[in-house]
Amino acid sequence: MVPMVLFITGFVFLLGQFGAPDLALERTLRLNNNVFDPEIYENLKINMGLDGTPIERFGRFVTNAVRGDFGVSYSLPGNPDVGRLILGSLPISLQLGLAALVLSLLVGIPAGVLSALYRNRPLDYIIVTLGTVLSSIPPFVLAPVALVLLVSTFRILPSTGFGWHGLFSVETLLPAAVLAAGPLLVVLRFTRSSVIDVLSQDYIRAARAKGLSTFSLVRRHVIRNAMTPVLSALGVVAGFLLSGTIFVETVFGIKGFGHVTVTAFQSGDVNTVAAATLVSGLIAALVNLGTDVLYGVLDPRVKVNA
Amino acid sequence: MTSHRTGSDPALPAAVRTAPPRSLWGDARRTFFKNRMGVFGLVIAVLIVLIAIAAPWIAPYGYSEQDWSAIRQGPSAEHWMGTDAVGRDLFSRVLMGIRTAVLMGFVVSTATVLIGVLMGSLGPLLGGRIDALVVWIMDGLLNFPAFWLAAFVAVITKPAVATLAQPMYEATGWAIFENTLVFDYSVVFLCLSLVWWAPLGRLVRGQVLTLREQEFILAQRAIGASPWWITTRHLAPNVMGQVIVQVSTGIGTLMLAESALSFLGIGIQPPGASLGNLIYTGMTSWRAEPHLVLMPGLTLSVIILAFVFIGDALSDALNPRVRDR
Repeated sequence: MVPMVLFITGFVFLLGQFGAPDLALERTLRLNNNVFDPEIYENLKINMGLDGTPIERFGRFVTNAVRGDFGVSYSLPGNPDVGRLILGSLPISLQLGLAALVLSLLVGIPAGVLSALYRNRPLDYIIVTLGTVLSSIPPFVLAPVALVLLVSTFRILPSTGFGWHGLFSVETLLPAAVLAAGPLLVVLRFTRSSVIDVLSQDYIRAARAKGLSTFSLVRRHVIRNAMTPVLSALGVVAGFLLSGTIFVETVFGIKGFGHVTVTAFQSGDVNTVAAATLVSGLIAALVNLGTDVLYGVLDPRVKVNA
Repeated sequence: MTSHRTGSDPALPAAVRTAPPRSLWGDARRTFFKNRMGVFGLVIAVLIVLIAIAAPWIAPYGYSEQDWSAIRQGPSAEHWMGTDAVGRDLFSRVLMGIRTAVLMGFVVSTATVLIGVLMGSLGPLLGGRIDALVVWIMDGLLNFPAFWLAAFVAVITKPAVATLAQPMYEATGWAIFENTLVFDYSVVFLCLSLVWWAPLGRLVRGQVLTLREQEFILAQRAIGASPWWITTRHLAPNVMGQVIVQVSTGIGTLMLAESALSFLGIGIQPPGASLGNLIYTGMTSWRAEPHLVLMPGLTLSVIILAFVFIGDALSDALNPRVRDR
């Protein structure tokens, strides 16, 4: 966790501050009709926090970042504060991500159990192949295809309503489903192999011998024991959701964290891009830490040294 | 590794001794070709590569050629996939988009193999602080959503590449340094290869670390084999199998990453053709002209699926643990 956070911070700082074009120079030229004025330049440098040695700047970058201060966006109108911009957009994306997570677990776990029960039989192949196809198609292709099929051709879903309409609205169903398709295969595969593992255990044979039906066998003995390994997939799932939200929010015009990031990407807005990268890295690190802890709670054999 | 036992080995039981010798690669090839999805993927992938190579000659029109008398047309005999808002033939643009994706996929893969093998073997070889540093960098890269990091690098380095190209153009006078498409390509190449080598590096490192301690290497040392012989004859073949699996699966992912960057407007930009920016441009009018987004989208999906199936079949074929399924 700690080395990971250090790594992201260092990486973002190095590239954001030294790889990027000189923001102070750009603003000097813009303010002074394209004539370079050293005095304005030096003042702007101090003003924008671009002065001092790299070590000083890194110290300032870290202390400011800890307080949620990432500077202001220089390419959006009104130069809004980047920290506030991101904080304001995160709740929407978290809700969308949560909806997608629930959807992919709701579909992926039963499908995984089914394909494990019918292992190496047609149903297994059909489920795994379908899952592979759904997950492999990138969200920015799946979304338009779903839109054309479900909205314009078959008119199953309402055609109005781009943007965010709240977690429990009909309009959220399609974006959440497209976002859920990415991690679906991971959930399915982990469930499948874990259930296959559990099915070969002696206590399952004992449960069968005492005459349990397949359904109650799965419900009582298989699912509970098979779910712990599936938890370790949650980190990967979070990675899918983090990257996927960029595309889904772009296609569906949802103004969340992904949207803020893409706008910053497209306009070359260094401060916002750096902050967004840092935040997404922190989310990834937190999810990984969370899964490790949860793993230890659910499986007493695992010791946590995070 | 049973791969080097031959049929005449007296230590084997009689039934095995009479069987023809089978190598690891022969076994793998047989298992691979039994996998229908894998073969299907391979056929598509070969086709895609051929199309990418021959694209400029197959394409009925130039990829940036505009025909103002034929804008926003649906698919027809003249324009198989229709035309876009400025009258460019979509089929020709999709072909060039495939070319871009394949080019990036293969070039970046080569770069990641070079970086990954170097970094992965450097750590265990040199040890100490360098090893710790390499592991630290790899862990950092692996824990981060790779695509996000690549996009970050692309956005940040784009102006730098442009400013770097200016003096080079003045010094050499070569038109290549003035071409904005070449900037786009180099930025995509740079950001993807910087980020994508980490899984390969970890794989190579792990393999080298475990192989080094195994008995057959010890046996080689005992009979006086040189380090060069051990590396080329025993370490490299054992590591390369896994590397090939990972790279072949990775090519599809890289092609996807290129399209994704272009979709977001930070990769290849119009008039350059990339499946990603074709989809992005098509999205603006998906209700009226769904073919503009469906054609490049389905093409991209088929390419990615082909590589996914190849990767699955390869890992089944080369992984001895899955073989007894």
